[in-house]
Amino acid sequence: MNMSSNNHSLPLIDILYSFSLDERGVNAEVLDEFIQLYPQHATALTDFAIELAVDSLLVEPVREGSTAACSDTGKRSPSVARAMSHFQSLMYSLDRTDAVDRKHASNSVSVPNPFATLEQREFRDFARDLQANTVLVNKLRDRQIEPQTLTRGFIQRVSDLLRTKFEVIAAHFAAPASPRLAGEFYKADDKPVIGLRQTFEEAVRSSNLTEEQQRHLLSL
Amino acid sequence: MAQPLTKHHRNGKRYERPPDIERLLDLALKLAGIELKKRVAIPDRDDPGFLSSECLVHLMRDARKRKDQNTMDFIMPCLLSRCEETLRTKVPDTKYKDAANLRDEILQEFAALFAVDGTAQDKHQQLDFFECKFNLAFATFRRDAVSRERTEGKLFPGMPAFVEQEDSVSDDATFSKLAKVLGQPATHEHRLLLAELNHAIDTLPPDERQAAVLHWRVGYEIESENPDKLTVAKLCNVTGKTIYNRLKRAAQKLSRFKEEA
Repeated sequence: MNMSSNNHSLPLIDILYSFSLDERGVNAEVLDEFIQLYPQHATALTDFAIELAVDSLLVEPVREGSTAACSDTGKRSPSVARAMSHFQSLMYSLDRTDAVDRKHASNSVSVPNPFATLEQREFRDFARDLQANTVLVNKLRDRQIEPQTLTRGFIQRVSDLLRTKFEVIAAHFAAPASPRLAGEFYKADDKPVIGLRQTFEEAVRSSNLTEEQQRHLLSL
Repeated sequence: MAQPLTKHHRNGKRYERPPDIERLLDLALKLAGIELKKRVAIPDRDDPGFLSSECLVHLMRDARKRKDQNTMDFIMPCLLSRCEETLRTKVPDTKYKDAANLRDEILQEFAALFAVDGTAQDKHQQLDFFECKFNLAFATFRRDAVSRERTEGKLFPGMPAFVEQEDSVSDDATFSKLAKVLGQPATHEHRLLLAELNHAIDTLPPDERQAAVLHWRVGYEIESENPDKLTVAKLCNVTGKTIYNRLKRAAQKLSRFKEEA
């Protein structure tokens, strides 16, 4: 292929957004142009174009969501509630870190959340390497597990995977959960109780993990 | 007026919201309290009061910047509900072994974009794209997760219902009919057929799927005598003959759809 380009500075994700937002849609002409411009990403662009092309066969729904899901009194779907919980947790953690950074506070005031800085892919990779899933890792990140029920082996494994000191990981788990998280978006049938946490075994058993994953995690 | 976006095109020009989004934002930014809440909750695109998802993204980012928890608390669930609805279509239970978890993951990762927006952790400022064309940006965002599922083999295995058939029609005629079916734009009128076709394509072996989509949907030629021209063969790094054989096998499996041409 006779392709040359000096467009090496843009991150791949920007190139992919730019490709998908192109007014001309997904066709050979557009893909050709992008591959010529970014030959280093030719494979990624081709794979992406295939996914977009297949995806475009599925027609979007006319109605976007339901009124009930948006109203004050309406019940949010469990999936939306979990996403809200994730959002609030991460926002709380990042804002807190920002505030602490601004005030140059000491570590004793703020316990850093070692999960807060993980990017999406890193977060998923961590879940996979732990032989768990993101449901359980969300609980770890949000401190929804009783710290005294976590085994030393498990904390050590988390520490190794995050390349963070054992003490930092242990301090994170031991810090109190955000009252906002525990109170407002806790997924449960009963009214949530602020600060309520699951034991490690309960958390593992209720995270849609396979039997094998559960056995592995509880054996650490 | 809404603040300009910060992302730049490769030609150095800033990304801009489409004019209709700008107009809608001008109106929406003047709304407050109950009125804004009411408008945000309208789910029907045909309702004159409907606020587009591009608009909700901007309002949400604005609220996040101002740390306006009340506004975030009613915009975010509505936006997420819309995304959830789309995910039900695009990541259906019939296609993925663990579709519910996959939809959950995508939704949570999308929500995280708003949490990091404007902070030091916001390395890519992806939400600018969502203010331009929400659906396409969301499709891009989904891709990572869906591709991962594909490579990890979490798709359902091929449907046994599609039995390979001997076909008396020539390959050229079959190929041209499939190109017609696959090349058509997605419309609500053909919604069910296209969904079936999408499923059928996804159950092809990866090499056949790649060849079929690049040739029949994206529009590449199988091969060319011009060495500089990109073709399916070149993109897949194999000979034209190999692509032709892959297409032939794919055509047999998709043969029932050619009657729809």
